[in-house]
Amino acid sequence: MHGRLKVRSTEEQKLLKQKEQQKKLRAYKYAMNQVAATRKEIPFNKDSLMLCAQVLSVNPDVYTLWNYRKEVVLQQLEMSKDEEVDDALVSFLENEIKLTEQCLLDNPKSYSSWHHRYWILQRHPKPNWQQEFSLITKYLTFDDRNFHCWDYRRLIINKIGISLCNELNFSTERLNINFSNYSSWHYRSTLRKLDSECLEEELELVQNAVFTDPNDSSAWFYLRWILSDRNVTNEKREELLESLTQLLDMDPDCKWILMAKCWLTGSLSLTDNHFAEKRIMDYKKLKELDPLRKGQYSDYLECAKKAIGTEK
Amino acid sequence: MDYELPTEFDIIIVGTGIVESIVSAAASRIGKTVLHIDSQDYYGGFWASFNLEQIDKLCERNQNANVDISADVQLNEGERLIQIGNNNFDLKNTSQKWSIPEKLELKDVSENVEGDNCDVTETEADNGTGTEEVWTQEKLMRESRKFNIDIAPKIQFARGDFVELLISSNIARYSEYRSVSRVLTWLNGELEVVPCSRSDVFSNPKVSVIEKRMLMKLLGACMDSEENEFKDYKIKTFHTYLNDKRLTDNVIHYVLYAIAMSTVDTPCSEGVENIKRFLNSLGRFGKTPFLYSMYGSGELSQAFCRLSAVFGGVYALNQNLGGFVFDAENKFKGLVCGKQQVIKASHLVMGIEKSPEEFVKSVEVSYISRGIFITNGSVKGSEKEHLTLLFYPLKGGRELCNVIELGTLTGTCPKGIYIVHMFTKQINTPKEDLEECVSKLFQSEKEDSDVKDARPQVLWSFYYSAPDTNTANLRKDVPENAFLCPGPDCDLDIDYSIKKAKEIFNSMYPDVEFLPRAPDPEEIIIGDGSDEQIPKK
Amino acid sequence: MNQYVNKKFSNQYKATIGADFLTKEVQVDDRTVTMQIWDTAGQERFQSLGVAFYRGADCCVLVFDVTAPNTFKSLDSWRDEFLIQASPREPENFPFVLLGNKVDLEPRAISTKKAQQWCQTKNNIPYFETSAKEALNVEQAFKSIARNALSQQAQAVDLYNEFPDQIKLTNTAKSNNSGDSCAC
Repeated sequence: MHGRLKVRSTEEQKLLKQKEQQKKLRAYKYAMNQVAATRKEIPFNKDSLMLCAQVLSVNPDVYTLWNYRKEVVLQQLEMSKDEEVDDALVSFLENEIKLTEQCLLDNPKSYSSWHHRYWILQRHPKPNWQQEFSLITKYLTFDDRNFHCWDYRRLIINKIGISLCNELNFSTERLNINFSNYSSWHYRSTLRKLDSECLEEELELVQNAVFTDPNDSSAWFYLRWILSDRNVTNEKREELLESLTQLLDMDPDCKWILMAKCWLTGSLSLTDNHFAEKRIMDYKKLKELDPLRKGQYSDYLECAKKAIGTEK
Repeated sequence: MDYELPTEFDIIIVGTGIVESIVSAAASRIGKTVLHIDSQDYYGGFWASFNLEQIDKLCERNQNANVDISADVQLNEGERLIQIGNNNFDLKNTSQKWSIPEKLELKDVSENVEGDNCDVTETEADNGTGTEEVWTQEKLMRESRKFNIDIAPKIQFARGDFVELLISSNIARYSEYRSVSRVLTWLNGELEVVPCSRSDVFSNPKVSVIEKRMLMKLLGACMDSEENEFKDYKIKTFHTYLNDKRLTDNVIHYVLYAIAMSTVDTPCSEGVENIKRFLNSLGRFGKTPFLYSMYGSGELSQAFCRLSAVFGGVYALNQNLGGFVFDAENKFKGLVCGKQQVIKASHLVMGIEKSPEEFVKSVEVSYISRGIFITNGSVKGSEKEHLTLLFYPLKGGRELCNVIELGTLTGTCPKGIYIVHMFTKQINTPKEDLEECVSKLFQSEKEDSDVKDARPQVLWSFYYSAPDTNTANLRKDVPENAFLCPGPDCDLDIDYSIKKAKEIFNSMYPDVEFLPRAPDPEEIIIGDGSDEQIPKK
Repeated sequence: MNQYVNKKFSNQYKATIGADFLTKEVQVDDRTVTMQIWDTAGQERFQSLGVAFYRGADCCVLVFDVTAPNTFKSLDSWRDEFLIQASPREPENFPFVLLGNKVDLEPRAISTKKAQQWCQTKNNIPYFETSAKEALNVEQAFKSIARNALSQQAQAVDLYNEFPDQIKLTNTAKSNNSGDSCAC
């Protein structure tokens, strides 16, 4: 014979949850009142600062509370201005950093947490930017679509300088894992100026992407950026056009391929009219495939026709 | 601690293989009293994992030491006592071989060694041969417990029935898994990584852009499986379809042998289904669709047994089983445990190897050629350790040989060592059937010091034929309230075995839920009135 | 275990069906530690605890009944069994704790001294006399074992990184969508 298994019903669970929420709301209200009442105190009110941290760990988007903390930090900075190296100050700032880390763990997309962290590090007498760099790399490994992380990475790199090779490898690694990512491609575009050598490399990379999935828009935007570079020769453009024509054979209904062809024929037809005809045909096809942007394509079509007109 | 087993249960289960264990968990879960008992002193039966010492002994000892029926049992009118267990399903063609010395010879020791410190000796020898570890039988045996060698290795699909069952029943918390990190194939004379996922296809430098597109389109077509796409291939093979699509040879190879896990003879519809199954499980937990149970496949039975125990199932291994009692109508009445104790039950479930001979005399058995190898390196070197799956096309693509390579991160072997499992449908003998694959992947036995061979060395090998009892009709000669559980099949995963367990469960308890989700600890309210007796100490 | 986690007690041997492990947060110095305590689910009754039960254990609680000498005598074999099955990296330093339970009952058969002597011979395992019924010393015992387990972790190689990238199916996440959806 067995003992009976009794499980809490959903009703019971709901009631329990409600009770917990009421408790949380009371605590929050209390904390906010405390902070408001003691904000102007000098020296700062230790209890309020602690309460403030507790609330922020749960909800890091309360700007007011971060501002309060900044005011306290400024106070501390003012006091230790004359000392060379103040251990108490450093430990205070480290605490602030720890708090942001805790908040970011729960909510890695909080503007205020990232901002506060950077703000503290800028005023830190001995900031450890290398550690920040490793940390941000870790965050990006967990979620490389968090644009906060990419921005933060750029900030740090500006502080400590970069090894281009490292960053390129990092970017390639992220793209290899998932190339459907505007942030990854954008980051890559900020790394270096394109010359004829690395152009090859980038064109190969982006072609790998569009051939794997021609419906992924992020890769196409990167291609567009590459094509805007003057170092892309006409020869290269023709080569690319040929390649994309092959791709179009396999996916005739993909508007992106057609658009990319138009980008190419656009620049090519400046020097060789033969491409203008192709361009016109492609825009007509685009109007059918992507009727939402019919107006835009019509405009381009007019330009293309005019171009031929003036030649004639 | 000497407890006596209780004398009556709703169901007695003999044998701790996967099918038996799933039935045990399902029965306990719905409140049936279960006695789950085994003559072996370990869990798993033919699905178990062994350490190095145990597997060493596996061949030597009689696999199924069947106990004679007890002489002193009191039987009622018309009842008869029959012996438990048979030898129809023993492993056959077993052949074990060490290819490394038993211990270090004195001549390997450098002259500077002092005393009998074994560790120093080996380090000296290690330094002598550079970075390569010098393995001896003795050294490996010292780490015996780090080995968990499956005799029926299994790989799960991330969205397969097994994983879904673990999650839905909440048995998932009793075991952990590792993702198979790469799928390989043998292409153009070497081992190539199969591009499985979109990101693989993107980043693989050996696949041209056109091939990338071809591959992605094909996989997309299989997933969408539009009526029109395959309508002309209803009676044709998948290989024919792929050829007709004018794909390159490489793409055909990747798709047919690896992603569709098929052969040249596989029908088109089956190939498409296989691709769907592959793609459905892709990306759920890792870059491939596959999972492997940490510490070996033997853990799987134990996970279900634990759930059974938590819900009151009584567990007794290493028991002296003196026979089954059947009545005049050939109905199962009870189990004899020890000398005299008869334990009664309404139902009997047993692993097929535990069955009395008379119930399995006409069971058709086919065989699986299996090989287990301990090696000193990966079949395809890489920076980080991989969990590798390889589908090797044998005989020009007519048969697939499944190869699983496990490293230390799976908890199945010590650092620096790999375990390779190979299996395929038996045609000749295990050695002959696996020869082609073995000769391609590992260094040959003969030492050819001129040629530098980067392939791993086999330190120990174990070949055997494993019975496959899954195609047979297991209800044929069996009494109404007794059920046979088949052993491991030739599939990569155990979804079929789950199906069998469900069938058995439904036969005994129709219209009852199969393994409903067990509550989490936080959801349970403790200790209500129960009339369970405290057992005598 | 019920006493420690839920502050409840029941006389029944198998008081609850369906409860198999409990979690409890405990303060050790300035750290908060979550302990997961796994019950044997009765499989020890006939010496049928499989090796899977012992995987990944950071510490072990041995319990005997002070009124039942047989339970004390079997401690050696249980400790040995644990060390064999779990194969910890440093067996001599592995955190055990011994609980002499049911001190509320009479007559007592195993003295405190006898238990302490046993503990000393096993590299000084901490000993606590407990009464689950009367909530005596249970909290302290678990706190001590948490502390010992943590100190082990600090000294030895980080055990949690022995098998990085393990997959626990209970944390089943949705599959990653590779479409270009918005990240915010």
